[in-house]
Formats: sequence, structure tokens, C-alpha cells
Amino acid sequence: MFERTNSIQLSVIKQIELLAARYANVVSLAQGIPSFDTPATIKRRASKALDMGVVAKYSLSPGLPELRELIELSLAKDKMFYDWQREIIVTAGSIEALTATLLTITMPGDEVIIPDPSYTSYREVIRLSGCEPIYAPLDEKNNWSFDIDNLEKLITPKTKAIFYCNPNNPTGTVYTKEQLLKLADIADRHDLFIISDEAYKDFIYDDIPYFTLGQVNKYRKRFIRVFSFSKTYAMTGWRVGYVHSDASVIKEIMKVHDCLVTCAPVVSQYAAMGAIEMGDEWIDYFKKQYAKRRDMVCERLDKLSNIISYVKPTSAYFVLARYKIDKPSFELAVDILDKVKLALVPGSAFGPSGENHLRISFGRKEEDIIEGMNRLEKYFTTL
Amino acid sequence: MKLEPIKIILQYYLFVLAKIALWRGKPLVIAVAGSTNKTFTKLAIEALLREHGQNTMSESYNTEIGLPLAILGLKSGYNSYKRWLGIMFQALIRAFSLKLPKIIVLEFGSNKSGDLNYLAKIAKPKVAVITAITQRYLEQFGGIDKAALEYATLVKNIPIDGLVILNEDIPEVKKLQLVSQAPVKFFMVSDQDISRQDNLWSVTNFITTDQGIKGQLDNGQTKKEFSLPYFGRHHAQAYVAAQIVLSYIKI
Repeated sequence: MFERTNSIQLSVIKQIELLAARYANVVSLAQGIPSFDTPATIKRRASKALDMGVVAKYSLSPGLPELRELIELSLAKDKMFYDWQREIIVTAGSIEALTATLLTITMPGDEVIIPDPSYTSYREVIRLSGCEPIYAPLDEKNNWSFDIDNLEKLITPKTKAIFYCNPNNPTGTVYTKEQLLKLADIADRHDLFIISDEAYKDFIYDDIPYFTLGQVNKYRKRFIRVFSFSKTYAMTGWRVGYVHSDASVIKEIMKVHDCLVTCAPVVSQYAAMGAIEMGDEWIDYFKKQYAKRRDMVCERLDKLSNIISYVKPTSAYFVLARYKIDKPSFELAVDILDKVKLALVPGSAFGPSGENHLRISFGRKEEDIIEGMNRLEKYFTTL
Repeated sequence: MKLEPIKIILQYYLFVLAKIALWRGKPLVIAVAGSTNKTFTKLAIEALLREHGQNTMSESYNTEIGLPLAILGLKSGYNSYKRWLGIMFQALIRAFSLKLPKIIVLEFGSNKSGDLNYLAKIAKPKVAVITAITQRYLEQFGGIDKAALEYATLVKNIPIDGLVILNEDIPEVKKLQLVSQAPVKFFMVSDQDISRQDNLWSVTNFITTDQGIKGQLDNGQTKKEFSLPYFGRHHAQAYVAAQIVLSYIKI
């Protein structure tokens, strides 16, 4: 019974949230949810579509044509050129896009290489597809970058894809153009797909340039890029994102997408149109706020330097902090929760290299961050 | 509902100011309409105009409030009252000071009957490009035939010395030739070589490569190879429609 799901675990983040629900006065810096509400302009776009009576029926399976046109135009601004009619599918968030992609390009027993540490749900989606996640440890001492030589050694005849998140959750780092091109070269030589989840690409700080392999036509038949509206526009509850690649790949992913959801929620597709049309100034605002909150968290962590060290994130809204205490990260996270009512994610949730780390989200409100850091300080100073 | 009177006042205010700017500048107006591919076609026409040394405008707003803003070169205030106040002031200044390009390319959007007629009252086009009529907003129009009637109102607005450019590949669009008093030219894209017809501009031998799209532009008299760093048949359609516009303008 349940052979498929036996190997899948409920995400550790959700386990921590469930444990936290036992307490009334918990401050959570655990989940990667933006503290902001969806901007009013975006909500108004959805509301107008509701009033017009155009959201009750399924859309075309790949999504509303007008949204896909906007997505093509938006990709072109980032120097990525994809045909909205044949190369873009609007999905129910990025997790549906990733699930559909993995089910399309793999067969049970295949292997998929993921960076370690990396987003916790990747492992489970890979297992759901009947495949084995293979961890490629990132180099913490070198700003959590790929160890390219080591990664290539992990490739076997069963390897189907390299699957990463850029900017990376939980480390908040951005892979360099040089590293990504080396990765693409490896994928090319070994005939592998590359899956890039770029949910945080709009929150890159310190003027670090954004590069994606989607800008290199040479790799378009093996490069699959996923984007979500959830983080960029504070739309996690709307469940809308998209996947794009060469037409030869998308036509296959389309079959799985249709089986999984038929189409993305239509009202959310209209909201996504509003986001692309009117969301730019909100992105700037969110980015400034997150950069300020990052500095707040880092300043507080610097005061705990006898216990905590970290690589300063240059993107997303997470700090992956290493602690100098001899305790597994899950146990430590539960102990912090029990003693000072602060929810953090144990680093082990993100892979073996995440052990001895805690992920702190600065996507939350400033007052939560201040109170959360007060509690963390209290925990460590009373040890 | 409370917003409605303010919206009507704003709409009328911008209508008048856009008309003043157009009356002062007297540009040749090219209207691009259709349920899909408007923006790509507008961009293709503007790219060609720039190649030939013409200034162009940037915004793709295409509604009763958006179109005057596009003409006046202003960005929308969306739902910020404060910003709209600033825009209204700037619109007044620009209506009397803006130097419009000689040729302006405007998107005409429609999601219900009467929209295109209203937009044509703001900016009377001399050239109309109809890219597509599809299922989009059919509920609002009450069927594909009624949607086609909406586009017919725009075609009827084109003067006898103007030009109507229609997508040959879509029967509902092709039929619009019947209501045009202006000369009509058609465009199409084919994967193969096709026999030449009068008034038909085509992209033949259309293919997709790793670096974009390629084909042969055939204007009925000459053929020339072209390639674009984009992907999708709609870019070929936009390219050929833009070439027809350019041939009409004769720059």
C-alpha cells in the first residue's frame, strides 16, 4: 500500500509550522511567505475579470493567450525569447510546473542532481516522480557556489537532469554566469536537461547582475525555466506561475500539465496579467524592503558571532545561518520553538549540507523580525 | 460604483486633451487592432520606422483611458488618486506643448462592442492593421460574428486614401475587406512557397532555427530573405504587416 507516497515526507517546513501551531504566541520566521498583501492594482484586475464573468470556465490548457503574450513580452525584457503560442505554459504555481516537468522528462529509476542545500520540496517532487535525488554539495566557503568538478562526477547513465533554484533558497545566493555556463556545458556533454526555478529572480540585491541560461539559445532544447508570481508580486495564495522552454519540450510537458490541473486558475491568470502590466513599481518597493530587512537580520546575527556564522545573502529573503552547537538542526529548531516560541527551519530540511544550519526568513514583517531576533538572542545567550 | 463618475470625467478630459495634441501635431495614425498579436505588430512597425529615422512612441495602452495617455506619452496612475492628479496636470501641459512624431502607431483594444469606434474618434487612423479575431472576449461580444462587426467599424473608419491591412490566414479577418472603402492588402505566413496573388504580401518558406525565425518576404514582385532573433509565427506576421505599412508610408 502507498508505495509511491511512502518515500515522500511531509516538508520539514510544514512539520515545524504544525509544531508551532501548538503555541499561541509564536513568532514565525520559518515559511518563505512574503509579509505583504497582493498589491491593490493586481487584485482590481482579478476583480474586474470576475465582474465581467470571464473566469468561471476553463481557459485553454496552456493559459489565456493574452497572459502568455504578456509573458513573452516580459521574458523579452530579460533577453529571453520564447514563443507564447508554443513555448509557454501558465501553471498552478511553480510546484505544478516542476512536477509536470519532472514527470515529463524522467522515468522511474532515473536520477536528478540537485544542489545541496536546496529547496526542500525538490527532493519530494523528484521522489514522487519515482526518481532519486542526488545531492551535489555547494561550497559554503565559496559563497555557496557549485563545485562543478564534483557535480560532474555524480553523473551516471541514469542521470536525467540537473535541477536548481536560482537565486538559491535557502542560501540566498546567486549563481554566477560563469558557473551556469559551465553547468550548461556539462549538461550538453552528458545530454541532460537543466531545470531552473527562478522564483526569486526579482529580489537580487547589491547590483549583482541577473543571468539565466534562458538567454542562451544554444541550450533552449535542454533548458526548462520555471517562474512563479508568488514571491515577486506577493501572490502565494493565487497559485500561478509558468514554465517555458523550446516548443519540442513544452509540447510534452503540456500533456502532463493537462492531466494534473487542466489549466491554472483562471481568476489567478487575470491577476497575473495585472501583475505583469502594473506590478513593476511594487517589485521595486518589495525589493527595497527586503534589502532593509536583510540588513536588520544580519546586524543582529553579527552580535551572535560567537555562536553563529553565515554567508550574507545577495538575493531572496533567507539567511542560512551556521551554528556552533553540537545538536542536530531539527532538534535545535524544536528546542528554540519550545523555549522561546520562535519558528525557524532546520537546515537539514534542505539536504545533508544544510545540517548545523537554521534558515531564517526575512520575508516577514519588520516587527516579527525584530521580535524573532530578540527571541533568538535570548535563546542563545541563556544556553 | 463610486468610481464611475470620476472615471467618466477623466475619460472625457483625456479625450479632449489627446484630440488637442493630435490636432496640433497632425500625425499619420496607424491603428493596430486584433484579439492577439497587437503589441508585437506595433513593435515591429515601430522598429521599422526607427530604422528609417522616424521617432516613435513607447506605450502600448489601448483602452478609452489608455489610448489618450499613449498619445500624450504618459504612464497610467493605476489606482493612485495622487498620481492621477499629477497625470491630469501633465496631460494639460503636454496637450499644448508635446511635439508628436510624424507617424504614430497606436494599439486599439476592444473587449466589447463600440470600443473601437470610440478609439477611432480619439485618433482617426489612416492605416488599420487587423491581426486576429479569436475567441477572446466572445462573451462580451455575443459571438464571433458580432466580434467581427466590431472590427468592421474600425475598417469602415479608414479613408479612401488610407490602407487596410488584413491577416489572410484568419477567415473572419479576411472578410473585413468587404466593408472597406480604402485599398486592402493582405498578409500571411506559410511554411511553403505559395503562388503569388495581387495585394498579398507573404512570408514563405517560414522556418524556426536555434537562433530564431527565417523566411522569404514576398511582396508579389520581389522576394528577400530575412531572419529575426525571435521565436514564433506571430513575429513573422508582425514583420510582414510592418513591411506593408512601410510601403504605404513610402519613407
